[in-house]
Amino acid sequence: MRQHAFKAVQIGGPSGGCVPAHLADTPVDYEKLAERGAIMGSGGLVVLDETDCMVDMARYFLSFTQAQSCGKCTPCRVGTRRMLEILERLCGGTGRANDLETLESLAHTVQVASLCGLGQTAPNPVLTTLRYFREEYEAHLRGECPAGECAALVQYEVTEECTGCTLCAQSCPVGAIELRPYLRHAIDMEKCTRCDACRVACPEGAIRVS
Amino acid sequence: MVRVVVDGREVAVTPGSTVLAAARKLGIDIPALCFLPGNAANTACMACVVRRVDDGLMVPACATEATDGLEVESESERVRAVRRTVLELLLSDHVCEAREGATGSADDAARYPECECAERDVCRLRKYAAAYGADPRRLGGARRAVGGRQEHAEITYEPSKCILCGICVQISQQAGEAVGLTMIGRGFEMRVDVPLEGEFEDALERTARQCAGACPTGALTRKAGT
Repeated sequence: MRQHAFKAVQIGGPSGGCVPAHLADTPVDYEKLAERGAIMGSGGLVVLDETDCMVDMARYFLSFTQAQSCGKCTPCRVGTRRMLEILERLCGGTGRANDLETLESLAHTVQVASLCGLGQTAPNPVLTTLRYFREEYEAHLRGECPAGECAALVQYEVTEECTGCTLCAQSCPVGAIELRPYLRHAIDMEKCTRCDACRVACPEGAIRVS
Repeated sequence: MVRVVVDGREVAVTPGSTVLAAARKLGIDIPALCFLPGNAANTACMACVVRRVDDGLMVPACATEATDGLEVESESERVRAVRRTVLELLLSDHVCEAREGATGSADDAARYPECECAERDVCRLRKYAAAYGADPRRLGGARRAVGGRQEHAEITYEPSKCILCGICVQISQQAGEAVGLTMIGRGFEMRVDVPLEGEFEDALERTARQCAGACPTGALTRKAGT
């Protein structure tokens, strides 16, 4: 199995923060983690590598905390929802020019003005990824996902090296590749879920991701 | 009496008073949209935040006791910026459509926001949005799926204008209304409605007009002639 480069650790569960690889020697204690923008929280550590998209990671954790909002106070009820909408736009390739500034200022307001700890910590994954991986956010604004994880921003294609062995078509779980023995295959990007199964299955290395 | 400092000015208030009361005594107008005087704080809108100087935390003025020696900021730019964003969040889920051609500029409070609402002159959300230069479209996004207009003999309820302050719920519960109003659902989809899928016309027997009078927006309005 191919080895991937260590990229970051998400510490403290969905309300925690993302500590980048170059700060991986941060001691696991309350004060030091707070300096990095993370928290002890649940104590959970999620190790991320170069194939993990930090914008998608922030979106994923915020979708959890946003769904947990009770709805009582404005910053958490509406603020986390607006933040999630921006992250969904970025991951979907429809980000707007001022989205990063809006997201950052909104995250700050939700953090300081929410009534309870849920809203106060919900922006942590967003704020830390913006702090340590801002270039990934900027890439999403340009319509690129450097980690190749955001489905809407990733294209799969079959190159000329294809021998028509049909393994990709057999491995595709959604039927996005028509089975055509001895012919160069093609991927229907409308059906494709970017699961990567075809690329893994191809013995010729003929599936290109861009 | 206890002495507190708001924006560098000292004021003496009776023990147990809130920071909001102390600020009002100094003539400082804090946007407390969900606070009904004489009642417990709802701490729902969070537009009344002030910054505690000793620890730098933003706290709701309506629910923070004025303890002796407490010092807070109310009109500093960082507090105003947070309040402005909170107001923009409320506006983003409030039907307060700007008219064609209106700029939404903060500078001209007189023409902003151009509500198409019967209660525009008494809407406190509109008043403070203008005072803080809150842009109703900056944080636009999906709106709650709330139902349409509901009618009562004395008042009208437009859920799309409700900012979930909880004041009408508070009034109806304290008056011991048999049905009353309550918060239904949770999170972004929360709404004020009649419990157990009851009819709005039966919900308020005594407090309908009082609720409409206390509503900070045009969500609950009195009907003409009532």
